[in-house]
Amino acid sequence: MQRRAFFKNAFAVGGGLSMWGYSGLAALASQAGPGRDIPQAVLSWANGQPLQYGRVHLSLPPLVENGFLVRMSVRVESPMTKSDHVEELRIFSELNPSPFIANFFLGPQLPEARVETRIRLADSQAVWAVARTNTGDFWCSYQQVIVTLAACAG
Amino acid sequence: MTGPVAHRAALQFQSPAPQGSVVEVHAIIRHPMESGFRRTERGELIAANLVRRLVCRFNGKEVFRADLHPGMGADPSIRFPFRVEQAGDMECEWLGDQGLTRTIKRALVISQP
Repeated sequence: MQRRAFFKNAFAVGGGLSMWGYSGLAALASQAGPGRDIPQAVLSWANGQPLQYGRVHLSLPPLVENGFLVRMSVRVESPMTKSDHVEELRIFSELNPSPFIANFFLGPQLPEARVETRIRLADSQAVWAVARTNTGDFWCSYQQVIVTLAACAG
Repeated sequence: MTGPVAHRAALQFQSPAPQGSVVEVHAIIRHPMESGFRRTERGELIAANLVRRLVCRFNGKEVFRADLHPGMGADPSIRFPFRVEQAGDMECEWLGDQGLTRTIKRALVISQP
């Protein structure tokens, strides 16, 4: 299964390899996490930097009746000091008409990297949260949500 | 629509609060967040009308910023934690389409033990 996921990702990312060169290969290697294709919008933000799974904790209801307003809480494990903190936290959708939900710019002033908000989901899908630290590391996580009444407005 | 619409907005956090404690800042604005992907019954696209940005400053220094996209729900509501180190003014500014600018200011007071 792991091998299959690896090849799947390899084909998905293959097209971009010529553009990304060696750093693209590094990103490819780091995808040996949970077997799910990383959305293109996430890959373009990471711009070839390795994406690591973990540290980001998404909290969404696993099943929502109404996709128009879905409560979401995101927390990133980070000491939030001047030398080690989350600078930016982006939320992506897999299937909305636009993959972008919100970008949060945090800083060492915040005692912890945590944001709560309400989002729209056009269909059952995974929501992705990706954090970029001040050292340039990318940490990501996703959560699958089943939506019974979809928000067509994405 | 003629001219900017006045959007109701609110900014909440515990104040007075003890020094060193963490308060939950809650910023909310009433806004339809029209995504630009919906169509009318006649099939015409409804133009996007979005709140694009929230900037929070404490004593003039930016402490939190959010860029909002069509995936945000209507009436955007954002909560984030903030450590109380000194007294001052928390100012939240919403910026968006159709000339939306809405600023809300609230004083953070240190409670005496």
